[in-house]
Amino acid sequence: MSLLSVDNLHVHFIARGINNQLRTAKALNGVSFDLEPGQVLGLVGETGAGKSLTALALLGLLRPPAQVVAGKIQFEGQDLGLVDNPAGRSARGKSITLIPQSPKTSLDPTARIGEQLIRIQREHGQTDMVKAHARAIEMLEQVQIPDPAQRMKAWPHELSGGMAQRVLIAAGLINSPRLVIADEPTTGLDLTVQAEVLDIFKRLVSANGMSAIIITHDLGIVAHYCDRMAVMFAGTIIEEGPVGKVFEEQRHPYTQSLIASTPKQIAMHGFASAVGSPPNLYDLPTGCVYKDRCPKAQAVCDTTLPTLGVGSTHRVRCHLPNGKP
Amino acid sequence: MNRPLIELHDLVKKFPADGGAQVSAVDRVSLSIQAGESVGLVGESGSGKSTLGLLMTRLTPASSGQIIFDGQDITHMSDEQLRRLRSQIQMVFQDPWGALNPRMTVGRSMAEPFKLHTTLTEAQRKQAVHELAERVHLPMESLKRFPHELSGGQLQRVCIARSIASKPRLLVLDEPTSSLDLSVRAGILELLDTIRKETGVALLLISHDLETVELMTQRLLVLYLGKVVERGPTPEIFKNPAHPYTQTLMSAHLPANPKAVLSRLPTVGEMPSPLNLPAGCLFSSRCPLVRSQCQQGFPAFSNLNGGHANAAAHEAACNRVADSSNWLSSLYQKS
Repeated sequence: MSLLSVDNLHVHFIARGINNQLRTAKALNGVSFDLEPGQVLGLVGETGAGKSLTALALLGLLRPPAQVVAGKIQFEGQDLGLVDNPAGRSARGKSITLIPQSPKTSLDPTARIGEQLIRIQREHGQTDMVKAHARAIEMLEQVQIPDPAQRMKAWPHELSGGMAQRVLIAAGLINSPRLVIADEPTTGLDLTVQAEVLDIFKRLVSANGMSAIIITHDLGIVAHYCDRMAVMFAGTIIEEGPVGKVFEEQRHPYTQSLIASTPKQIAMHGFASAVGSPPNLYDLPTGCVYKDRCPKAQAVCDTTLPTLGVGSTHRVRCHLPNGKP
Repeated sequence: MNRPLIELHDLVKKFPADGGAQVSAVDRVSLSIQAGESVGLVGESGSGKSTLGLLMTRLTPASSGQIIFDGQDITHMSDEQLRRLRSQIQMVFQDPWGALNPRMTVGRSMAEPFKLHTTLTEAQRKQAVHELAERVHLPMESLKRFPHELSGGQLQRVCIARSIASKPRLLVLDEPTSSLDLSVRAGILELLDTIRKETGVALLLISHDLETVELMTQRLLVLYLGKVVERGPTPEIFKNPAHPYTQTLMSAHLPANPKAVLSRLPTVGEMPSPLNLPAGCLFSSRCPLVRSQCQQGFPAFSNLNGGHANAAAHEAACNRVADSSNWLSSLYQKS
């Protein structure tokens, strides 16, 4: 049984425009994937592709104008429901946690970090304050913050970006979740700090047998810290599979253009042809969402949105994967 | 050898800190760029790379040192004289959303440099803006739009268009692609590359992205806490990073290729506070190869490739380069 199973998730933003007409932005259009225990999944794609939105939907954190209009989220075999509900809440926040991006703004500036780490445990049922305090120190130690007992008293503004991100990792893992979602965990951190933070994260996740989803636009992070990857475009997963296979086979033209855009590839093969603008979520084309930017588009691509194959380990949402029907 | 387009001699920028202390954001940096050359500046936050960009464009005054542009000392030039110079040295900033006036249409923003630096009539300016838009592959209809209506990539094209409008000879690019998506980023880099080849403008590319710098530049400077620790031809530094800091930095890079083998070198501690710098070599507090000599004065540059001309020399400011004991990898292979 999969740890997490997301099936055909649709999220729309429904709001009135200036002319008082209801407008619908189709932000997620049938996201489906499974995550096995112990796996790390990398979610990549450009801005607006729906990476963070998928995470928020999993956590039940979407608020109007965002609405989950269809789909099913199962966690350890249990239906979490699509909106915040008591049954789902026991899993969300405790068994599924989020490590948010921008460490400096995600910590409460008015509380010492020790207090924040204890608060998270109290919220999820820890009543023994002595134990909670000891656990907080233990977690700070695990994320390699020097002098953890002393650092419990530090204020968020006293921490460097790298240290604040470690505190957030400690906070995300303190209740021993089954699944951690890290949303751009190292954006804004320096290269050497990024590597250390990712190493700590990966080690703790695998030592505790957790699963993780890393949301990023850095293909380097996916290549070296994830087991599987899912490439998103216009609110759907267009290719999904083991990291090595996706990088090697690049079956979807969008995956190909993404990988061809890395400076290393440009240095080897020159600049690829110019990319088009991001898709208009208010007015998605019929057929394949990528067809307007696809150099290989054919008549068949205007017909339907290709299905993402089921069951197989490497799936692609394309009528003509690798240029072949 | 031709006269360099711009030369920096022992440039220093100090900022006042609490209690009368001073922080040297840029400390005795020397650099020269030839016309049409592309030079990279890498370093982590706080290394002074953006400050150096601001100094070169005279957007902030230097505390000491000299800036010579095209043979002319511009270090203490008056605002009036600078105004004429500005058409020659232009800058593109990291955040295109913040760099454009939100209340001006993109077309008007792009006409501003022509108003400032040329005597074109309004009709001629309009024509020039159209040519410029074509140049940077900006759709014509976007000229009538406001910045918030365009995507980040398009806005950065607008900023680049503005910067090349006055036909500058030096373009300082401060992280021009780091706020953009990967596929959009490639388009911007291609545009900059084309502009350089067509107009012969010299580029100074400030970035923390090693792959971008490797792709775009011919020469490279590595900064650490305001000081240059290594400089030389880009391919040589990437092939053979000599300073222990450069080695650490490059080993932390994650190539977008799952098959690439990572040989990560551990870092020791955090970057020291600029208010409390280690004596001698600034990297000595984190360097696994530190020896007593390193705490006595900043190390002189040692040459690695025998290149004597400024442009061709690969040099590192490390005491261990002289006896070739500067390789971190040897340290970790043994243990």
